[in-house]
Amino acid sequence: MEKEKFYYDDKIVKLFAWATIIWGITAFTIGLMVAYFYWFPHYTSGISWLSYGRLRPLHTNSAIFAFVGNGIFTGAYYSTQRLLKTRMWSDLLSKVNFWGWQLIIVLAAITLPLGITSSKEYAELEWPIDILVALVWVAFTVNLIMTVVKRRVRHIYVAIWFYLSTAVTIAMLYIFNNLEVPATLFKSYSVYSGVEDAVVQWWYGHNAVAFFLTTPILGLMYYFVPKAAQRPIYSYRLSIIHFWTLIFIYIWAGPHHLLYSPTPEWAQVLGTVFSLMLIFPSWGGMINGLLTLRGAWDKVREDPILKFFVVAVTSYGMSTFEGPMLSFKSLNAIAHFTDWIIAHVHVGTLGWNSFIISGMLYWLIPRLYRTKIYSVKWMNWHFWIGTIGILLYVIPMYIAGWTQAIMWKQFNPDGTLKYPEFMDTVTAILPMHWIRAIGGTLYLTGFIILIWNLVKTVKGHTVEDTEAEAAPLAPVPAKRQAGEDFHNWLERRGVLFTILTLVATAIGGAVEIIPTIYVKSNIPKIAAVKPLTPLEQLGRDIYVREGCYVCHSQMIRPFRSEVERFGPYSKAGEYVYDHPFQWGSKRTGPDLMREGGKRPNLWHFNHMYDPTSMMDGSIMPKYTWILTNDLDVSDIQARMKALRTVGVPYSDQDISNAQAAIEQQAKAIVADLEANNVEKSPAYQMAYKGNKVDLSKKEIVALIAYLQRLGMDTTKPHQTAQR
Amino acid sequence: MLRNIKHYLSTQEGAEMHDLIVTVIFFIIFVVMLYLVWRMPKHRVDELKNMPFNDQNENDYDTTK
Repeated sequence: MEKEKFYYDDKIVKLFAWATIIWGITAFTIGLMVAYFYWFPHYTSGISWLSYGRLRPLHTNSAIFAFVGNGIFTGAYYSTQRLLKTRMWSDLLSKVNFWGWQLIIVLAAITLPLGITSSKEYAELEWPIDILVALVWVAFTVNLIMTVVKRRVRHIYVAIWFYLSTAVTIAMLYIFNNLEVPATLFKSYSVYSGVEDAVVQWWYGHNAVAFFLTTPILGLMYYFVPKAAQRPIYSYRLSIIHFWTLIFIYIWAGPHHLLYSPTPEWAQVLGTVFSLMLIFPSWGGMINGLLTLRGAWDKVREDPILKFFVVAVTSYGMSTFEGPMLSFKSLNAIAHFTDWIIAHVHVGTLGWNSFIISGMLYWLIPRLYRTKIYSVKWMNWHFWIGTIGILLYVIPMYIAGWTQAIMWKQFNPDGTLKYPEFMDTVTAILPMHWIRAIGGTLYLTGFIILIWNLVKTVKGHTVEDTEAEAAPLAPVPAKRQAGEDFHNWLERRGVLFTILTLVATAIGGAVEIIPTIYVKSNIPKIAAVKPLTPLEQLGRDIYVREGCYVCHSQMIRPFRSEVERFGPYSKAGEYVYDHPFQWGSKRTGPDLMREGGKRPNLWHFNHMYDPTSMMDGSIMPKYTWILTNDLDVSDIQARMKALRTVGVPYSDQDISNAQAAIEQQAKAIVADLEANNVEKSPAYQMAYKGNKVDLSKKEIVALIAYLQRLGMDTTKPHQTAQR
Repeated sequence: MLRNIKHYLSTQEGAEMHDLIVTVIFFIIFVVMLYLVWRMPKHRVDELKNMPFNDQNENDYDTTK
């Protein structure tokens, strides 16, 4: 058949590549800002939108979706066109994908620092942006699938299988995890509560790692590692097994984030078993990547791109070995909530994701601009500074994690906790955080070198769409041909392949989540547990807004050390009205599940203004604006109605009387504060500059109401009944 | 019908059995797949693994020099 001439859309690849670079440095810089909070907790003191609780979600979102997201699109758009011998199906959809994605990132960068958040980790964006994410993702998915449909190559290469699985699975995960009922334009409540919400969130959260930070990056590995090494992938057979087993098994592993929690035991066991099974496909992929370099290791010595790829694939191997190990309950009991997890995550992001993307950019940019790299020497400098940066980041975090675990669990011979003050652990690991910050600084320095090197490389050059030619595909019957093996047949059926991919990933989610939500015996109700009062709900919304869950858990595991330190362990029925759940995933500060009644109202008042005034050595930043901000009660009815829609049993009377109830409860708290001479406290004096204010109209009162309610329903039910 | 499904889902016993069934199905598919992959002809495998190198238009810039 006669060959057709066409052009690859390289301009869209260029746009995504530079967006990757810009958002990369943004994400790393915010990460570093967050890291320095451990040493200088008050360096943005008083600026709400630069507080730790709001910046940390911005760091994770910008690293995952802005930096890695754009990196994925860069590599996927470049390789898909070349592997399928066609331009992307729709230039318009490519542009919608690019500009829509950047708009989402900008909106995230505005809303998260403003405290507009759903508080679900890596899914913090509020509902209008969620809708935008879904639309832009659909544009990408449709464009990808249609490009596959109109390809000029019979068979679809393994890299594209991974892109397809990413496209359809992320759509499924994102939509189901972000099902929420809007109360206002910037506030919504998850349709799931407590345990259900936790299962769905970590089904999503774990698989954001799986299908956003792993499968598309594996797609990049399967294309760019062979290209850079100038030799084909080690085993195509292994890649088939790797692909199907990985996508099938990965989706099940989410509950390993919830071990020893009140989630059903069968779901936890499932998470552990499938996590262990996950070693095999993960290492299959890693081995396939590394063995591609067999016979070419001399090139690794000379080519810094291959150095990046080798460290990336090795990091993938390390983190995918560590992940299943951490899913053993005995090891998870030690590691969960500690800095060990931070180390584990950063082996993956800094080593695997970022180094693959860095290597890809060094390979891609000179080719896009049809020139040579400006400096190979500086590529090597980037590699070594970045690698040392990773080591200086993760090693101290491992040590910090082990230190935390040991100190939290240690007992004296008389049975009391050896370190009863949580603060002892916090101060013990501060030197580790210092070294971590140095590691992060080095890593950022390496990335700045990359930017400088690439800017110098492209100076004076432009990107033009590359001309190519290929014959159109001759029509072939959909049925298997004689002598055609099954997977070869499947590889030429793009749409069927995509559907089977979705089926493989949907099975795990359905089997885990549907019974958790519907089988009533999974979440036994506790009669004493009641919905929050309107004032407490407003306080909870402030707790969510400030990202308190970033440092404080609300889930006590059934360990002697935790019960001794925080109170009775958590039961599933205690969370039935929690939309969304606030279990957290890390304890920089203590658990707050049973905070209610532990300390006087005045303590919380002072603590929010200046934590060190109440707790020597505290590294919690000051939340001064909570004392000065007026409490907005104007939309409480809308909030309560939305909560009623998702299952919180507020009556019409509760909703219509909400403002009166707020006033009544707030006045009771203020009366208590005044009885304890709040006006003489340094916090009051400094916050209000000596003026007398009506505290019942301030946000702090709502937050105190919420904190004092935590855990009270089950530990002191008669007190909450009086409310 | 939806109500019946919801009723069944909310009253069913032994959800953990689903996992066992799915795991067994997975292993069966896995073994079948191993067999199929093993039987793939070598020339087809070689052809497929070389797909990234079929792009003649790509400029080649050696970054190591």
